[in-house]
Amino acid sequence: MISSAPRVAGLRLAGLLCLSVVLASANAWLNPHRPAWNLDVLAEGEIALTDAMAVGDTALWIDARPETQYRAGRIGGALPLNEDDWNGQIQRVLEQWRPGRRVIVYCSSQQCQASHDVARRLREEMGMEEVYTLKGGWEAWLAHQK
Amino acid sequence: MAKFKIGGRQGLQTKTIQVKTDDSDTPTVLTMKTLIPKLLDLQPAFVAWKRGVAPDARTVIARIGADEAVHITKIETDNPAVQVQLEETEPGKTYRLTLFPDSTDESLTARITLSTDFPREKPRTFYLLAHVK
Repeated sequence: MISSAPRVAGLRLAGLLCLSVVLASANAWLNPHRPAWNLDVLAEGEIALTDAMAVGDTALWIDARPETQYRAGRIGGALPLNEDDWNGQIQRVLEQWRPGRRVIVYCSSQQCQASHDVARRLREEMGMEEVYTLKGGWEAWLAHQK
Repeated sequence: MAKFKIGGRQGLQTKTIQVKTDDSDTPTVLTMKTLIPKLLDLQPAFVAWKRGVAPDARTVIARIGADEAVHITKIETDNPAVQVQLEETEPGKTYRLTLFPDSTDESLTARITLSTDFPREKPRTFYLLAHVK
C-alpha cells in the first residue's frame, strides 16, 4: 500500500505556492507603494529626462552634437559645446556658468558618446561638480515632446 | 575617403570604421588609435580653495605640448578677487602660474584667460578656472 503522506505534502506545497502567487499579484496590483518594475537604471553621472525637465532653466544645458544638428533644432537655451570646436565654444559656456549651477549635457541618443566626453572634460578640466548627461539624449527629449 | 576631425580633441582617441565590400557579407572593422598631445597642459587643470581656509597661493604648471616654442602672450582674470602671476620657467616650453585669492570668505569663481601665439594664423586661447567653494 502506498502512503498518502507525500501526496498530502505535495498538495499543501502547491496550495502554499498558489496562495503566495495570489497575494503577490494582489500586492502588485493594489499596493500604491509597490516598487516600480520598469524603473530606469541611471549610469553614474546620468540624469533622467523627467528630473532634468524639473530642473529646467536653472540648469545650464549643453548640446554636444555636431553644429549642423544643433542648428537644426535644440533644447531651448542650450549652448553648443563639442570637441570639434572646444576652444571656440568653451568661452560662452564659462560665461554662463556659475558655481552651484547644474550642467546637463546631451547628445543625439543613448548610444552617443559625445555628451559623456564633454561632461568628463567639464569636470576634469574646469572643476565643475554638478555635471550630468541626459539619459536618452535629444531622441528622448523629442519623444517626450510628441 | 574617411576624415578624422581633430578639432579640440586631445589625449587618446579611438575611431572605428566599418568597411563593407561585395566580396564578403562581413564588414571589416578598421580601428584607428591616436594620441593627440595637449597644446597646453595645465597641472592641475583648475584650482580650488575651501571657504574659510587660508588664502594661500596655488601654483599651476603650464607645459607646451607642441614641438616648437609657444608663448603665453597675455594672461587675464575676469575676477579681480583672484590675482594671477605668470612666470616663464623654460622659454616657450614651461610656465608657472601663481594664483591667490584676496579672501576665501565667500564662494567665487575666476576665469583666467591665457592667450598664446600659436598657431600663428589663429592663435589659441585657453582657460583656467579658480574656485573658492
